[in-house]
Amino acid sequence: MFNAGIVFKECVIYVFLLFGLKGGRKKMCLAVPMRLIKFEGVNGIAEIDGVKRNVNLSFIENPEIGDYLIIHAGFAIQKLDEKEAMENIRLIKEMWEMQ
Amino acid sequence: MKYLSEFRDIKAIQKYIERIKIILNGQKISLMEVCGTHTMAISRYGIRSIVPENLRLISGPGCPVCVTPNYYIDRAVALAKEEDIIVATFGDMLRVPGSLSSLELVKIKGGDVRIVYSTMDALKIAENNPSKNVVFLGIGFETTAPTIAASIKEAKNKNIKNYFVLCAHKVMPPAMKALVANEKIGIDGFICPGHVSTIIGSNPYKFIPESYNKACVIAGFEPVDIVISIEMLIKQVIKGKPEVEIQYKRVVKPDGNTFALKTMYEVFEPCDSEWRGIGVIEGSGLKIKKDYSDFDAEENFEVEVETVRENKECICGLVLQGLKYPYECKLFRKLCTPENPVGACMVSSEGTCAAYFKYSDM
Repeated sequence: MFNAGIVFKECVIYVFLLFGLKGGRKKMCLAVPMRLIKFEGVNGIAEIDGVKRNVNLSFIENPEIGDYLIIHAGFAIQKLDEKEAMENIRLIKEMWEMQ
Repeated sequence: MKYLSEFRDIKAIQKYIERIKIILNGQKISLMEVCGTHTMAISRYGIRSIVPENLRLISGPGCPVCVTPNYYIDRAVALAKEEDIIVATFGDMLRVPGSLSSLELVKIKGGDVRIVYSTMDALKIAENNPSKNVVFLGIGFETTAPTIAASIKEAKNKNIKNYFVLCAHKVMPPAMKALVANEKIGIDGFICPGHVSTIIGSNPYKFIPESYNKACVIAGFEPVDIVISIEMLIKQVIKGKPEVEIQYKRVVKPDGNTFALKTMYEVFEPCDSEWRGIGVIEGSGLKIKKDYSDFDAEENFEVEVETVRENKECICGLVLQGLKYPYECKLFRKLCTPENPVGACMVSSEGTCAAYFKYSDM
């Protein structure tokens, strides 16, 4: 007899296996800066657009809530320098306005 | 998204491309990127198709999985077949074909192969499975090596005795030296890796302008970052004044990340290392120091490894050196696809063949 519960469970397992086996968790450099929202010692949580991720802060000097972090394989590898980012953006805007 | 959308501005990209055309003025220039994320970004944003034809963008050996030789995969496969061993790995290693098998095939046949996002997850697996030995596959460049060193240090601090690393880490500057010295490739400048440089800084590249007279710019990963870096590079080449410049200043500092470097060199030391298709490059690898040999899988497990075989038709080795394009391979798109990869460059999300397959019409 058709059992929707079993079919649903099998679909979930199939999708899990599919993504699991295709290597869903890849460690390619994540160039998107994530914002540190919480930390205790070297263990923190960073967030971007509602997506939260555990992050190890061993390599970051004086982390602070609100820091934008570059994360690679679960470790923060650098704080984003907001002054330099703003300078980059200023130059891009200048270029944009050039005729 | 903050600090992201500004670097994807299409009008700014067009302006930079116009300027690049003017500065180039018909001159032929070849630039190589040596970071898998740059390879993917250049393909994804179609940068190769919008730059002038006389500007050649070549992909180098920037994908750590792709440069890992078959004998390492074969060894990992042999370890995964052992009953008392759990192999923990980043996802991209799973489907890389070894001589006769892959970790994915071993997993399907019941081998305990687990995908982790971080080395610390692998360490947790070891803590939770004290009756098993956990072998983590230590693949990656200077960005990844410190994270693996941190896990080994943590294992030592916590006295975890069933955690091991099968180490095949590589460092980028010696490989760049081998590539720049190869006149057949004809590199005028390097788009230097953004996140490797986050760790090592800009100083280790100085030999490239000083000894080889070639340009270097450390680039960010967004399309505007890449076109700005290309403009900086061609200016250096045309003026004949090569140097190491940082475009990705919002992340990369000249001294790199000293905390990460300290951790990396506390656990690892340089060694000669084999790169798939390129051969052994002096001082281009990292091995576990004697003080941490209790965590070295190479030292602690003897397994029977099958005789190494390479597919003769596969030209991954030449693609990795920028000597051939993926579409010049007989297998590309026919026998070698992301679903059924023959060579490592098609497997990894950072591989050149995978990038061309996904984003290029050629």
